[in-house]
Amino acid sequence: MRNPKWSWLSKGAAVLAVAAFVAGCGGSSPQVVTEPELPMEEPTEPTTPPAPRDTTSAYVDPNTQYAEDFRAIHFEFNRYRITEEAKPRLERIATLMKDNAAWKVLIEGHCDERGTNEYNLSLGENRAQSTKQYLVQLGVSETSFQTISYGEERPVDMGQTEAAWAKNRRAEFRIEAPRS
Amino acid sequence: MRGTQSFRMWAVAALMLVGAVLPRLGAAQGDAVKLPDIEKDADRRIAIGIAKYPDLPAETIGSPAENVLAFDFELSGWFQPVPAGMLPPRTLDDWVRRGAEVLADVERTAGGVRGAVRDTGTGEILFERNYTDASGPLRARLHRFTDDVVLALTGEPGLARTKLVCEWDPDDAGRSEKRLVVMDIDGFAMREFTGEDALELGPRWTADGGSIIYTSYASRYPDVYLHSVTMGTRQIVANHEGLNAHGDLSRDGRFMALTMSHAGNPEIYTKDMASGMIRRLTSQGGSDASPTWSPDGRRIAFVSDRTGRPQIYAMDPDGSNLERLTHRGNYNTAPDWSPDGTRIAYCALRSDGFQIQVLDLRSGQVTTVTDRGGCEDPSWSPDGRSILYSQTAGGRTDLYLTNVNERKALRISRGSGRFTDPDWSPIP
Repeated sequence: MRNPKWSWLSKGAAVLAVAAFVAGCGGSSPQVVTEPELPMEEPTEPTTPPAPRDTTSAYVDPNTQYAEDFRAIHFEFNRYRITEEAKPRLERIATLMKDNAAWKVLIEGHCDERGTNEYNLSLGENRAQSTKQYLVQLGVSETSFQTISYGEERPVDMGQTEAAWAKNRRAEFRIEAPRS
Repeated sequence: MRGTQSFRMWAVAALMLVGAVLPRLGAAQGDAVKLPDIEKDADRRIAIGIAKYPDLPAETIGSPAENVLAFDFELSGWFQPVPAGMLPPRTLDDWVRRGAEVLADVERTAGGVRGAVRDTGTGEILFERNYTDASGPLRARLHRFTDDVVLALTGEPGLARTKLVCEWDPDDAGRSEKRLVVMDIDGFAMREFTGEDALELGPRWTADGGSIIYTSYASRYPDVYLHSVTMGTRQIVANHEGLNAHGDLSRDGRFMALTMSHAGNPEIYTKDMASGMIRRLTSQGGSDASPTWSPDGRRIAFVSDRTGRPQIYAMDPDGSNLERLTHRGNYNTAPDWSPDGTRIAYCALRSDGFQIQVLDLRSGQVTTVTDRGGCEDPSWSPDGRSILYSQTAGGRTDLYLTNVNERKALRISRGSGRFTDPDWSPIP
């Protein structure tokens, strides 16, 4: 069964994270797919309650604050290995995560539209997993992560050009931080 | 052009094998004419005249009855429809001059529809049957008539009453996310399958046609569901941490093969549906995907990029006796076993784009059955003669089927949106 401690990773937080991510992208892509309303299943196991919301002080979503650091990393066609270009970015992310041990980070793996959906679903999962493993090797706790693959289902650029495909072969990050 | 006489001989031979379906032709049974071998004579289609049927107007079935029949006969792979055209033939001789060897007649009767097929040379009725109004919608009865004619004249089951399930992305501004839809194999009667508001992927029929197994993001994460077509109920059959996808039930329904990533990277597993026990079959690095049972349940084909690029492999259901099946090219995915287990269809990236190929497991021979590129996700017809697949071209993604010997693509999906990853149902 799924890790119950992730149950607080709520739909609202996800939508907020997407909005922050979109803002952080600064319109670098012509079309952004936003998260739809997803029905949540009734939890079958006891869950950790959401962290209490502090309504008196201004809350800064880390997805906004660290949008530049946590922007997507990209991959080669049909590959899931971490590129040299992505490594310094992951080192920065590892540093931030070790400084903010309460953060949970959801890593989303994505593919470009070419090729079979089914294979791309596995490839996207591997992109998320290899990203996670790289961060774990840099000293981040393994329990700080959750992965999800969307295969080719959520492109950021609908174009059918090499440039568009390159943008879509990516791993995205969503920080889920308890608000204190 | 073959004459009607040769068709008669052929039809008689076929009827002999069917087992004297039509006693009136029994006198010819002494002729030792052999039914042509299906592989060799697969391009030998019977030219069937499709008349206009003024008492079966289009408004009752969504399209003219002659269109429904022409499509069904074309789809069967055994017949070549000869349309009536602008100047409809009035006599059987007119049909003979058009090249029609047999003629399909459909007419209203009291309380039903009578379907018949005549030999255009002799006028002899080769098959006839009345389909009462109580036996279902008119369109469904026309499908039934086609299947009956195919069976009577070839001895093979027809496909007109089969269905398909696929992913459908309406691709409009309001919503652009895939849902599962079921439709008749001629592309009509499409309906959303689960009614859930969540991303749904990779549908596969169970062998009895009673359920569909698929991946849904209803819990936010990809889980595998089994959904009963008849009962409308569904159950989660895999929801471990990470990826749960590519569910495929063995023909006896006892085991599910699937891809899961809770141990790290995506690996192939089986799950005992009765005990719930899971068994890991692969332990290589890389991405494994698309496990698919052979029809006899003795092998599982799957995709792995363990050598760097995705190729198709097969193994026993305990993970032993691993064999790499594809060796050419550096992208071979989406395996589907033919119903007799002798061939595997798959998607191959070639210099001319993504094409559907067929690997003959006995000879090792590879045949490419598409030629326009953008073709993915093959699914065999239940008679093993055609392959259904999706093709992206000109800004659209539609479902097509092709007879593997003739390789003439026939478009199936209609309407707007993108149609992907189809699976052809068993024969009802």
